[in-house]
Amino acid sequence: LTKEETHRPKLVLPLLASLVATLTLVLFVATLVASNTLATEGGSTVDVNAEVLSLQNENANLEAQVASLTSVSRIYNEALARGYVQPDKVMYAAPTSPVALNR
Amino acid sequence: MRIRLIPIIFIFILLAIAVRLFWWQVIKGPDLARAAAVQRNSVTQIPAERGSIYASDGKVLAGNQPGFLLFASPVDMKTNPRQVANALAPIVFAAESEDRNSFTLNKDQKLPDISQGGLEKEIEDSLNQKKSSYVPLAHRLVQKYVDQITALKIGGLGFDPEPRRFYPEGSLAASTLGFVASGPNGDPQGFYGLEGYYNGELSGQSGLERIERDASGQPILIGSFDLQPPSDGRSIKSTINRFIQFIVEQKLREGLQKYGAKKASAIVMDPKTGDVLASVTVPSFDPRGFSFFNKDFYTDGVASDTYEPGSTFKGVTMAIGLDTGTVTPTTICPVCDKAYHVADHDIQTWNDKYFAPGTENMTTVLEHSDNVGASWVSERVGKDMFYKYTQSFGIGSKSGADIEGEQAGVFYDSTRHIAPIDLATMSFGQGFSLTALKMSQIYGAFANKGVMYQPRFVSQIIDRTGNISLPTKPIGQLVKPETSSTLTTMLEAAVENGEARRIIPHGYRIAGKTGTAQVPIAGHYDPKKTVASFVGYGPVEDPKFVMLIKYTEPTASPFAALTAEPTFFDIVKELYPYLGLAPTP
Repeated sequence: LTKEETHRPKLVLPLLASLVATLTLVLFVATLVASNTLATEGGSTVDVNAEVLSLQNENANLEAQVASLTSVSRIYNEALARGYVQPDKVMYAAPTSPVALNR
Repeated sequence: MRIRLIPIIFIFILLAIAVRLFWWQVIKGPDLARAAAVQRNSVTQIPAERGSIYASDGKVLAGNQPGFLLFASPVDMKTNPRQVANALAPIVFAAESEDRNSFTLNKDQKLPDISQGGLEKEIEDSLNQKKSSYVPLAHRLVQKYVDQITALKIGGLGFDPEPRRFYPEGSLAASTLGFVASGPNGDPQGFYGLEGYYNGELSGQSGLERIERDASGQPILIGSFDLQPPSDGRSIKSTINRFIQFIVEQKLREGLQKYGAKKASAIVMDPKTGDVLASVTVPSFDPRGFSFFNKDFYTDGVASDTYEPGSTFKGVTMAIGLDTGTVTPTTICPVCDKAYHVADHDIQTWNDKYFAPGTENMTTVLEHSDNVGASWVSERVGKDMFYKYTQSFGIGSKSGADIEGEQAGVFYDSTRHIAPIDLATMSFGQGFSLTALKMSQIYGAFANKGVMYQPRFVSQIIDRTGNISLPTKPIGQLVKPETSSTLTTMLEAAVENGEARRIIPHGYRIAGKTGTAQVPIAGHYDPKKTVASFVGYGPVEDPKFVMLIKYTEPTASPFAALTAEPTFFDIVKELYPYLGLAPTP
């Protein structure tokens, strides 16, 4: 055996050890990052759901507001408040054809 | 020797650990896995949204609005309960006051007082339940009050969704709509009216969400997720025309006050379809605060209150007489010159006024609302035939309308128990009962060439897959078209020449009949109390509506001609322009 051949195993073992250590470290960091991301994304999901719910509620409230504003009693009271009055007598026009159509 | 003991001790320790691990991993493993799953998995019930009720023009009569229940967890609360109560009370008081101020109250009705101080005390008492983790503090708060409370940043407070039933038209058609309250399981349930009848359609079914959450309660994205979506309730489109409903409600409230009646009901129906365009009972309630109102006001009086129809039934008697060919409009009543003696009883006219022999015919019998003439017609028709007709009209049965609490009324179940005097009194509407809904259904047939329709309050059921149109239901040809036409002419004459002829506006061609019935009490008729009603349809050329007005125990006048009939025409005057009809010049 040459001098180089007797030294080879001594170099492989530390290399392998450092590789395993690096891999472990990378995996550890990856797990840490993944866990962190999952936790953050979970929170984001909650936030998005809350926003969706809030928009739905706002939409429902606006629909309710529109419905209230178009209610008969509101229109009636608003008309009275603006000075409109109910006529004592309704005048009906005779349904005769305009002169131009009779020609 | 000691050195040798060490491995043995280690082996024992390892064995003990192995046994313990076997215990936890294998024996108790499934239990622990389940316990962990319970900790991790959160199951939330997703409430189904209740369907809405729409008017015939598609506008909301009863819908949903987001609402929230304010709760506290005194266990987690670090702030002094008194301080919290002091901060919350003004907001909760404002929310409750806003709700209460919007209620439509009946005459002389007052709501029980609430005070900010009282609310503060209630909240403080609730917060002093130190061991509780869930104490409700205020119900169905709207968003703006939720925002105000959230801005206080008080720990230990939270909100749960608690939807509010929303009524944009306020108390309009309340007795027809019914209301929503908590059912036996705490779920929202419809009571009375359409909410009660269609509760199954409107309710829907709640869903479930199963999701894994981490220690802080956030969802784990790669965890298991199971969603059973809620099945929202279906909506319904009613036949109620909110403008007609508003007109009738307004006039009936005025009439109730003007005539000092105990109660009033009115119905407007399309005779060609059976669609109920308006159904009113006053005094009524406000569905937004139903618990503050007398329970007697919850029912729809049109479908639930039975009464003796009195003289309005003479129209039915005459229809039977005409349809059987027993009488014609000009047939002379040969017994109308004095009280009519039937089986030891004397049938008298309402005013004890009689007519010279040969002057009272069938048309004038209706005009004068002559009890003697009606009795004579029923006697000539005969008990069996008369009963057969009443059965085909459905008297004594429900109309089958889609509303909760409809009553059938009381009628003879066979001809066996109908004595001659019973037949005579029956001819002018005494001795049995029916509802305003049934009476207007019968007059609807007279308006519709003899064809009767089943009344209906809902025309469509709406869900996500589309609309299901409910068909109109013709019951059948009750009287011949000629009978209907002849009777209409007679009923029009009864209106034009009747007791109220001076107050009837010119040009409104209405066929109708008044009815002033005494109220039966413990086997006899109360001499002072009456039910005054008027049922009619118009325009007679092509009827677009049949309407019945009924006052229970009016005090200004006991007579229908002076109470129900004027209200009828007050409404007609508004109904004509709305329906695009013009009075005859």
